[in-house]
Amino acid sequence: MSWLRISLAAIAVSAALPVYAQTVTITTAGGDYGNAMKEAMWAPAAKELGYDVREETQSDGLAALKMQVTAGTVTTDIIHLGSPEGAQAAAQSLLEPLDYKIIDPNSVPAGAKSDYCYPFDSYGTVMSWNTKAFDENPPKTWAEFWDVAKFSGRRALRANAQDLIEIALLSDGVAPADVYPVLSTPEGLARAIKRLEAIKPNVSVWWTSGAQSAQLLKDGEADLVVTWNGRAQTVKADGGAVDYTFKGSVIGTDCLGVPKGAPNKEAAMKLIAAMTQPARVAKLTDFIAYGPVNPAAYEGGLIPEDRLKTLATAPENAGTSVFSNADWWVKNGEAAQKAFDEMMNR
Amino acid sequence: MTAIVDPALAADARRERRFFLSLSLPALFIVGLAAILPILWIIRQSFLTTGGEYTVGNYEKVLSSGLTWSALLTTLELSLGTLVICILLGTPLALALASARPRVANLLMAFVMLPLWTSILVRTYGWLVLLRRDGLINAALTGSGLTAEPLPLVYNFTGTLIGMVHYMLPLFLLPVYAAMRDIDANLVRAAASMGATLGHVIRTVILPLSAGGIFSGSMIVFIYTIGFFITPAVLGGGKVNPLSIRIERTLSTFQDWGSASVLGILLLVLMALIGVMFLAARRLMARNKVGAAHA
Amino acid sequence: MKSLPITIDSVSKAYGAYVALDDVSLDVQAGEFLTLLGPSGSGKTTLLMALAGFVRPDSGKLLLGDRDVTRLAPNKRDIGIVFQNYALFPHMSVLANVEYPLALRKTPKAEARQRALDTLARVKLEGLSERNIAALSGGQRQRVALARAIVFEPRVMLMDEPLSALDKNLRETMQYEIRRLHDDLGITTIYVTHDQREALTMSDRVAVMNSGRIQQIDTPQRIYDRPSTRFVAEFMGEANIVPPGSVRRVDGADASRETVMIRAESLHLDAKLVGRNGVALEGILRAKAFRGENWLLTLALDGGQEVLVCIPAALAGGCAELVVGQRVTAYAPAEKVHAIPGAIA
Repeated sequence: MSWLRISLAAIAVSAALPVYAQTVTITTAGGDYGNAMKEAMWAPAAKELGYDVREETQSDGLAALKMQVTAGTVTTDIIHLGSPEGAQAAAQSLLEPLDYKIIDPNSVPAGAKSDYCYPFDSYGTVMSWNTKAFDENPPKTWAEFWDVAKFSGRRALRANAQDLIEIALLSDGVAPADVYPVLSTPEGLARAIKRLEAIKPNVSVWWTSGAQSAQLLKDGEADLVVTWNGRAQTVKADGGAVDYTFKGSVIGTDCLGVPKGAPNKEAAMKLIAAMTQPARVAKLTDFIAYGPVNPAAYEGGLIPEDRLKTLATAPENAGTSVFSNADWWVKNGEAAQKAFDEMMNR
Repeated sequence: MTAIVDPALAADARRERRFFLSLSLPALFIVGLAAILPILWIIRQSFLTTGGEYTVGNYEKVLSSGLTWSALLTTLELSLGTLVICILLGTPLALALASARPRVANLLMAFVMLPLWTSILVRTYGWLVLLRRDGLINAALTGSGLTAEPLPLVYNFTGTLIGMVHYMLPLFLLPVYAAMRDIDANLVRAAASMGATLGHVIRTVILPLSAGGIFSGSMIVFIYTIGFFITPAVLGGGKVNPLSIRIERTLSTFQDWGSASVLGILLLVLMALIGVMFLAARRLMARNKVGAAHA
Repeated sequence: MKSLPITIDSVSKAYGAYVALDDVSLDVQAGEFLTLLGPSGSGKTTLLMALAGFVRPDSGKLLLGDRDVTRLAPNKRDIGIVFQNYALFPHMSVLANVEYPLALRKTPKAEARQRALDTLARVKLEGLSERNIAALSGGQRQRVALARAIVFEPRVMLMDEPLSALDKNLRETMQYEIRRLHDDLGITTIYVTHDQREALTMSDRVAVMNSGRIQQIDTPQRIYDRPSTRFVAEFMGEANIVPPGSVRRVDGADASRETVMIRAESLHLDAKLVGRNGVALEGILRAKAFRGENWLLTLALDGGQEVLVCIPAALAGGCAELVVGQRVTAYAPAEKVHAIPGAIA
């Protein structure tokens, strides 16, 4: 009996004493993007803080988040979400409020601020094309993208209403600034859906993951692909016969949140603050063309001049873009997606 | 007059029975844990709002939506299509296997079973490589001049069906092969000696006697394919949306667990219905056979 | 109905190193009942299956009448076959089984039904035509198999150990019935069995096979009494192969210098039963067994050779008193002593 007690005590002491490190679990989307986040952002930050960071990957962050929170088995401390999902998660009380005493509140421009999900990088949903199919003369606007007579070729679009609704209105002659006002009128959504239905016969693939859209571009399976600029840039940089334009892109942000009931809440806040330091989000652009949200990252030459034009948020690219409105999507997302799904099934 | 039973021996017999019964407990426990509990949980979820109050609203919403019914239709089209192709391809293949020499049959069987040992994801992406526009098959077709344009073999219903048939064929084959292998070779010889051609033998002897296997195989195919997700997701190009994909979308885009649970229950009910239909049909067939013999 | 003769001409078949048929030739006359008799693995079933068309010979010719069927498909040979396990179609009724060959021949439905019913009556299965095969006894199944094999009036019939699954009494009844059916229809029949008694009872002629060869073709009686080889002698019942020198003449004359065969039941203990030109064997009684209708004695001859003596119970007055270890003399009549050509004991 006493032997057992002594042995147990010895184990307890050895576990508690020398090599204790704070453990934090981060959930990302994995793939090239997840890797980039690791190399540029959380791995150096973890080293600085002396944390032991464990990575999980989930292609569908919000579903995983909801599963963990409602089941009461939260294993992740930081979760990477798209900002609309972040807003949705916040509305469903799945996230802890961000601790802006630990995270610098001035690192986010006023318009992008969120109390629950910290926006750290941005991307554009862009038009990309196979340069073998359209060598010198690709479509230049969404209206031309819709013009199947002049620009024949197989299209690939995401099987999701997000961004496509906005793009459909742009193709119908709506000015970027008017997109959400039009969408907020009773017939606005129907108008966008009707536009999508018009191009549906020429869509050969409705893709469901970013990696798939990159594959379609790379393989030449589709000639005109609506995808995220980072994916198009990666294929282009790898020598794929691919180009893309920021003209008319829909700009969205990705954010980091802390799940409600996360086991290491405070450490998670510290890691978020550390991994989004200007130098680190600027470094992310070494790996993937997603521009920092923090204005400080564009200062002091942290990002090389020639790379700026590959970033959606770079000043010269922002003119014709629409900023995705997370609030609109939280309010109308379900109706928009339902209308979209019904259009797909017709 | 009743025989006198030694109570000690009777107790032994009881203990023995109890022991063998107890062997099934671990399995029953796991089945209970892994199958029944989650189903109960899903049933509960289906009656809850996002806020956690009880409601039948999820059922109203799902059952009144055209999306549900078109997904159901797609599910049935995929399952039936897979089944028909499995029967058309699998039955002759099973016949070839059953009539091959044992060594050849074992080798062929290993080839047939090979896909079962590979992850479904790997296999599905393998089909993508074969079937896409610049894939091996289209390259061969256009290269040889058989077709001018690459055929749309994937990112549609056709591609999904190909992937599903590839997955299900071995599972269909096993019971059919087993049934055919069990047919006494002398029955075939007897039929031939009486003047039957190969076609007659297949029609009048082999098919009737392997009907049970074809039946079991069909049931496996149907019930399995009802829940297929990865294949339509990867090979369907977003255009093939059965119930399984509807469930995923309801969960991932809307986080609507209530509706997803209703869809899950719908899928479960569909499987149960098909199972019951198959069993009823089998009973009917058995009765007809006896009836015909007594007619 | 005219039956056909069968000619088997130098047929050989090997499976790798194993020779199943070794240059077998055999003529079966039209209407004859011939039995292929031999132990398992002797080639008798292979020969039957070659005739049926299910085994392709390596060389040789098979003829039905004048027609060379060596390369003809089995379904074109018009041969009625009864298989060892009956091979009835389990998914069809008795009637459907018997109608099957007629349906294949596009016989009009009513006629086919009438012929099937007539044939069932012939094999004494009236009233069972609608039964399921599973609901039949072994004997009934055997009769259905017979009916199915003869209903289309084949000119040749092959039977592969058709009675081996039946119990002894039923087997004897069926032996009689099959033979009667053969005599009624006159179909040339080749019958395969490993049961020598069955072969002797049923056949016009018996061909004894061993190791892929025909050892002897003869009438049952000659096969039994005058075996041409030691194998045939030993395969047919209790045969004693006695070396020269172990046998002496009762009258003291010189005994034969050959190896001889004497069947156990040809030996007696009473010298008076065999006549003066009979032979005598002397030895020590090793064992005795009462088998109901007879006694079986085992004698050890002076040369060490063992000899079986079978004494019918009716003539075995002294057998019960014999003591193991005592000296016994057995006698056989001269006509029951058969020299085996070329045999060396």
